[in-house]
Amino acid sequence: MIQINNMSFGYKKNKFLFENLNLNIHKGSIYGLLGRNGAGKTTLLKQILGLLYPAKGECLVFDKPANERLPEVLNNIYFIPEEFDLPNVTMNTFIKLHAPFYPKFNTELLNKYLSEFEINDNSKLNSLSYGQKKKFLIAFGLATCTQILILDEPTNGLDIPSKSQFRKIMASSMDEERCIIISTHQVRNLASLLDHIIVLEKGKIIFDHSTFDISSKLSFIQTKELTDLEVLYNEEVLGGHAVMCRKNGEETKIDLELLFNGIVSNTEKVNNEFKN
Amino acid sequence: METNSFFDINRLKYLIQRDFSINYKTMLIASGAITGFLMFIGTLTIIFGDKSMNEQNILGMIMPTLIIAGLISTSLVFSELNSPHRGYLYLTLPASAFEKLISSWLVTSVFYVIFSIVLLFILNVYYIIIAEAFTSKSIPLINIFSIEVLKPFGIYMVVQSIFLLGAIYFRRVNFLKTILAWFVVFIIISLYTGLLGKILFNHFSVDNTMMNHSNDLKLTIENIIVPVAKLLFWFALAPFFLTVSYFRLKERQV
Repeated sequence: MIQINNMSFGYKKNKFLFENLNLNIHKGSIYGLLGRNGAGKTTLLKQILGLLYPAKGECLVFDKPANERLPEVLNNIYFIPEEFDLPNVTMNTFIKLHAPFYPKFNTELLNKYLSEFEINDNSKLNSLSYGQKKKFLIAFGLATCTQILILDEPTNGLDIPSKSQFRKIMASSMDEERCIIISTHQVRNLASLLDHIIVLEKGKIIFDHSTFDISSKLSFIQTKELTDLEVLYNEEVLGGHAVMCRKNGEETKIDLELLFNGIVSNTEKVNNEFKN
Repeated sequence: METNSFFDINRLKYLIQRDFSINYKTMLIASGAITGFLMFIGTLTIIFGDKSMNEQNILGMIMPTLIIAGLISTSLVFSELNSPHRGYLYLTLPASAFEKLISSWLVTSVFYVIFSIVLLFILNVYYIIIAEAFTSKSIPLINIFSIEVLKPFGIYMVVQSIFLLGAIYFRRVNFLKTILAWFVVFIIISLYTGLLGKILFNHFSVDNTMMNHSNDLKLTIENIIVPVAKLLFWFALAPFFLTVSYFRLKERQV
């Protein structure tokens, strides 16, 4: 679906943020794009959307260069940015004006998602709070039924009940033909949703594995003692240690925060676990 | 289903609908303000003016206002593209750069000219009613399809293409920056041609040789340069700036 081949890009000449970046994104998965501030997550998403152009290499979406912004590519990809400003029109007008651009737009789905998010009136978009606007945009984005959905920090601004509604809606909207990319810092909110993790650090992809692989190679446990464990990374927590270690017996729930911190602090060591 | 990446009439229709629906309030306010202003100025001129207004007076009052308002609207037509938090929505809208340009061009050029001609007619009728009701002056009904009316709008459509490029090229203060850029280009061209003229003709003294050269130059200007310049203005300038605008829009990043 998305292929990035030897792509280099920098906001300033001779100072690249990405250098020879390679990445393949396939359908049927929800990708979590993780990284520190300034790692290049939003820039990478903008490259995929054709909002920024590579200096070298290529970024292909549905086998077409993203930077050409072809209508037949754009009508199959929807982006919900972290910061946005919507036109000063009512929700119904926004839907009426934008839905025709998306051939697979499903009004029933939109109404379902809006009612799940408890947005039922036809208010002007500018009169809504940031969180309500975001929920509206998420519902609209999902209802476009595009094959690629890209969300940048989707849970920012959502209240606690909305975050769980968001997870529920995202999980229900997923199918084998679709690919969702979520860039986020708030890993705790979305851990259960993701089935592939990509970690970006200083413009490089330092980790790119499915949650299935992670679960089959690593264990995440809390323990008082570190003995008898092949520890890859640990953090002191109340009453002991949170540990990421080589898989030891039963499958454990992935602790994304621990995984991320482990990857960032010792990339090579963690990646070595996935080599065979 | 195979779709055309470059141009699709339905996508263009959706874009025009979108442009009008999102901006209709601004358009209404601007139209109301222009109409009100011209009605007010016209009423004062008719009632307190010394002479009757002829066709030239009426056009001289209405046309500059409509043309300046049109150029300002053109400068603002890509405000969504230039907005840091809305540019993404415009650029990821599934339509080609060509369709987006044509949509904005139609709204600010063709539709604006049609709107202006209708407004001109309405204002003219209003002036006639005011003159008959409050004064003994007579005001002519202007033929809105006459060359005196259509030519300035033709000039507007050419000049407007420059402001359309400015609307895409500059991210802020587009109207003033376009005027400034145009002024700088004009100064450079004037200096260049002036310098060229000086190099070519300055060494001739005021004698027969100079006179002959001067006549040659005059004839060349009258018979070649002016017609070519007119031809370029009417048929090449707008397509050139629209083409540059298209590539600028196509290559635009956030």
